[in-house]
Amino acid sequence: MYAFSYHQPKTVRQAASLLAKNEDGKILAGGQTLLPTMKQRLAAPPALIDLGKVEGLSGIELKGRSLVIGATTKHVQVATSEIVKQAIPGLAEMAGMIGDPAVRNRGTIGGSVANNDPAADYPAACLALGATIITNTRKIPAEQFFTGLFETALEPGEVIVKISFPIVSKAAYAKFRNPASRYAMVGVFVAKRGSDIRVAVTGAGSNGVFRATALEEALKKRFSPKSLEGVSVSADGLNGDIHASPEYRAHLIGVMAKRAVTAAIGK
Amino acid sequence: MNKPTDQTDLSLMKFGIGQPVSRNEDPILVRGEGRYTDDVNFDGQLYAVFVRSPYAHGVINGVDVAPALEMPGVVAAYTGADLVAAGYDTLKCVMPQKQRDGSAMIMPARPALAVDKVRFVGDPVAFVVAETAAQARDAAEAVALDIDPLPAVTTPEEADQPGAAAVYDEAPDNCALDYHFGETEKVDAAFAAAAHVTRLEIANNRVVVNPLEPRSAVARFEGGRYVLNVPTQGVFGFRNSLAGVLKADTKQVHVITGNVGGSFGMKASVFPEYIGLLHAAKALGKPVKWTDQRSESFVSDHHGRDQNVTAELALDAKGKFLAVRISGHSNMGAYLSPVAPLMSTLNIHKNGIGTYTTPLIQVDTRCMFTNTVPISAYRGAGRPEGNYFMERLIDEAAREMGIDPVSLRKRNQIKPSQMPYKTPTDTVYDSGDFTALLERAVEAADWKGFAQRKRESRKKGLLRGRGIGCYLEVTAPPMNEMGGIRFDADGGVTIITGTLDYGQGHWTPFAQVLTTKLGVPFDKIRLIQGDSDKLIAGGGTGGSKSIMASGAAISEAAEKVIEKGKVIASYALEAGVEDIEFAAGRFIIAGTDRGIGVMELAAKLREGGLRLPEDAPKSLDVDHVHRLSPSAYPNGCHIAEVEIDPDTGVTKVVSYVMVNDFGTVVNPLLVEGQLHGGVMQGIGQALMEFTEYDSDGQLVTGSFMDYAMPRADDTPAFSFESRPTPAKTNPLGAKGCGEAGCAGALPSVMNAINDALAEVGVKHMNMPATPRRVWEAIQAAKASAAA
Amino acid sequence: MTHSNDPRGASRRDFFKISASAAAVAPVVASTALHAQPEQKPDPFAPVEVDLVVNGQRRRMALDARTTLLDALRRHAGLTGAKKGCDHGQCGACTVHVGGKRTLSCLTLAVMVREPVTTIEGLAATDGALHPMQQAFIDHDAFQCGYCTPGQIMSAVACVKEGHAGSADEIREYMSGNLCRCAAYPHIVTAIQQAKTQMEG
Repeated sequence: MYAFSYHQPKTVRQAASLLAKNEDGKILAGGQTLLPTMKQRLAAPPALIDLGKVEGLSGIELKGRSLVIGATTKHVQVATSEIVKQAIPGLAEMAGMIGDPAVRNRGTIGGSVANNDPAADYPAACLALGATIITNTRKIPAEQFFTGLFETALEPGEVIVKISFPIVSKAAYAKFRNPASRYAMVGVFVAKRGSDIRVAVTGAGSNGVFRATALEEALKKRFSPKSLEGVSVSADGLNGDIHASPEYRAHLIGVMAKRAVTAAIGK
Repeated sequence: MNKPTDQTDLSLMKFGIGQPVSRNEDPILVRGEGRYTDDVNFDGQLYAVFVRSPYAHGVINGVDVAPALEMPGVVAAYTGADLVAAGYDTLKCVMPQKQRDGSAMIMPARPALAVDKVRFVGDPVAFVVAETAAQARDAAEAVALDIDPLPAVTTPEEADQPGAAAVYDEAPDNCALDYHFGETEKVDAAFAAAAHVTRLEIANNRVVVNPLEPRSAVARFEGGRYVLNVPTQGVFGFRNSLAGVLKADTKQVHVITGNVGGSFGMKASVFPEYIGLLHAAKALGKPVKWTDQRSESFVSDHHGRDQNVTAELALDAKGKFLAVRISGHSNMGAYLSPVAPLMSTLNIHKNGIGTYTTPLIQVDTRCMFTNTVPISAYRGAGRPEGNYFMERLIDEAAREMGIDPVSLRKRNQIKPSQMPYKTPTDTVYDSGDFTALLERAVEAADWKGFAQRKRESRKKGLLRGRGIGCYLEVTAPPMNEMGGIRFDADGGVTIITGTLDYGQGHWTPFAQVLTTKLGVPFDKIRLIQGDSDKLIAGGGTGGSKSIMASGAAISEAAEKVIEKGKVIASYALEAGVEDIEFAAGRFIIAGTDRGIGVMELAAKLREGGLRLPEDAPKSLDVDHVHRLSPSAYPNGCHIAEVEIDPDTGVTKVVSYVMVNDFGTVVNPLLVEGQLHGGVMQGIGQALMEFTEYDSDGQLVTGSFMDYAMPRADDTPAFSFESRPTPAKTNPLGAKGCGEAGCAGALPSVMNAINDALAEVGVKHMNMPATPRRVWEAIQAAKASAAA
Repeated sequence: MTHSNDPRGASRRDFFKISASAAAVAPVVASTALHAQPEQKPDPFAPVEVDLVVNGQRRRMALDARTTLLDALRRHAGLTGAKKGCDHGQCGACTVHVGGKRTLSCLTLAVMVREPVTTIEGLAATDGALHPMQQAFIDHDAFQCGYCTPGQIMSAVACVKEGHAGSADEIREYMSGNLCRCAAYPHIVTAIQQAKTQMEG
């Protein structure tokens, strides 16, 4: 790890101002992906702005037909929250599949979403559920938020405050873990809200999280795993690495989508 | 004076040989109070960080440490030239094998830091010493390397191609050793006459050892001696090797090993870093500490395995094995490790024979240099592989010939009545009832109920398979092992021996041996194993031999204590020495109830309460060296069942049955743990572990993000049984168990996977059966069926 | 070819090549950004105050802000029970409890910690009596080399407290973040089952 200056703002406003002042500075939330990256000396932010002392960024509440989760809410809180389990059980289950229990005790939803790791789980949930990312300055629909590998629509000085998920009638996540890292090698989040059906895929796309429109179309006819039989996903634009070829990933997207739909129906 | 002997009997019932005694060191370790090398610190110590080659192959034009020396906190920096100037020797291969024509194998010298060329990514070229580890790390990055990259070779087959880049000038074809064993003409004739020949191309995938404790060392130079705290597998031999490289007298070198966080063969070697650290400690007059980072461990610890063979089995029409032939390539990596060629040559034919009467075996291995991390011993060191090749051949032959795999094995197994049995590979089996173990395993695995379980799996959309691994391992022969016994001033008894525990838990079973042989109280016994100054000999740990080696040394030393004790007791009891008998920890006058316990006798000696003549021994202490026992032949039958999800390619080992013959089992609790570990490492190699280099020689699987390790949820349901036949080759009758798990697991798991996949037309699945590779094999089989 | 050995150069990145992981394609920052205009910005090398409560004892230290909780414990507080296995949050050997929750101390900066820390050294009772989990690990031979054991035990205690020790399968899943190369996993599971009864009894 290279040296950095360390800041502990007390408010979001202070955090944003520090972020704006420190070029290439980074927000430190749970640190579960930022710190290993820094240790590998692959990232060298000159300043870290720790949100640990900022009040009011953590919490889960229902607001009308939406579930609103504060940015520094930890994965374990989402996974075990009765509110989440009632409102969107598939989201709670997804949070319970992130990393391992120790990572879930510190990792935060805001950190995961802001980092937009192509193998992270939350981006798929946000995209499939049609979430809105609420920052200190504006509201960004998930569709516009995730712009590429580790890239988001966040501007310099912009801090995620909370994320709002519309409540859907059915949702579930199925994840094929990378055999080594246990990140998603293919993760598929399906959500059904009325006739709006979305299938978001993480871990597989060479440009990060994406919606599998062919699968969405098939599911619109009938929300059933049977609808996905024979529907193939193109390997174009999918990642190939030592653990999976694009073809294998394409195949797994279909398999995981079926499993997610089956799970969603069972809820 | 007379302690009732039944108290000793009671103690033996709890702590004697054969009892499942929990380990003495455990209360220390569960409190976090173990002393692993990185837990050791000295006042004023400095920290070293090594600069490693970013290229797989290249000519070193220059290494400029000047920029590093200007960094904050930096005390010194050293290059290969500095170590050459200091006149150290090179690191040596100590187990060379002869070439096919009888000539010597090619053994290029390895300096501790690369001087003229770098030969793999991770090859150390310099190091920086600073006041803190962070400063040293920052400064190491400032060292400027001027290296002209050369083309690299990473696989042994590629290295054997004409025109391949040569790793060494002295081996222009990259072949370190062209090894041959066997009577070629007879083997050829057997194959020519065979009714059936089974042939498989088998990969023995390279693994990264990955003990959870990274290598670490603290070097000092004190009172004219080199002192090194370092994890090893035995300090005596390590000290001697180290002294050889340092060109120092062994008396000038002191090696201290505390707790070791796993090794599996790897930490036995003297690694280059240790020479650098000792050099710096001497030059700077301060302790110098170094701890590897995991990312460096992946490219600086020796790797294991890495051999590709064509394996062939010749059978007659009734399925009798006529000959086995294994030929191919093995990877040495960029430098020869101390044991480099052993695993893929000698140990293949020694262990490939297994439990069978196969009269002929031939092994041809081309041991190749490549631009990869050096290869060394990894759990089993050729033993699991030899068994794996043979057991895969047998299952495949059974399938091809339509013979039941159990029955094919039985037809060919060596029977107890044939013992002692001389094999065609210069080993003589002393004991074992291989077929009885196979039959028991078949019963324990509910072989007959398999069809029903397969139907149930099919209902879930899963393929199910079962596989047998009948293994027999040839252990390392116990050699030159110290059995020291000290009766200490505080009333304790110390065992001193040169095997070294890196997780096996030697203290407890060795104490069990001593308490059984000498009747000293179990809880008074200590163990010294990791201090080279305390040893007069020591063969170290490796090759599944510690309980035989130290067990024999301790048993024989106990006999010597008894001999001395009889003389001393004769004065204490005022009787003739010929009338003194020893039983259950007491010296007694034959035919009377008068006697004295060994501990009491030791106390009297200590307190000066005995007047002994000049020629009588003055203490019970013994320094003994067990010179040599033959290898032992641990064996067993393991049966694995797997379920494979054809949709995803995911394989799960769902049940695993073990029936083992380890001869005399000193502590069944610890033996079961060793077997779980060995089997899980086997499952790791079979299902998930692999090492991949890209075409530039960069290690792609260089962290736990890409290198899969077995985890808790990869564990199958285990059943463990012992069916021992005591060995006749060592005083305890033990056979050694440390590597057996791997030898059983590779064949049983892979045979089960191939059994399951045969149903969908896959002919031969190689290790590792990762989800991707299994899925792709199924797709390929489907495509070829459709074509 | 001469190149700086700086890892932010391409060749060293190859050395630590990682596919499909978070780190592989993380943004790389030019080295000149690091120490630019020091007069306007706080000195990154200046020690920061770290105020920890470890095993009931308050420890105030002035540390480099980069210091992880693991290094603070091992190097500065003299508590070497938590182990460094990978230093990247991938092995679990460094697991401690922060605010009663299992935490990877290598992925936590000491300066971030605001809740009490419990390490393996603080698990036994004050009279020295072993925690039921420690005793169960002994009874069931749930380790071999012992290096991952402090982390395994801290994870195991948390696993029971979280209510994730209901079945052997559940234990295996919730212990899957702690690597054990000696693979004492079967005995770890039985140890946790024994300790669970005692912890809940």
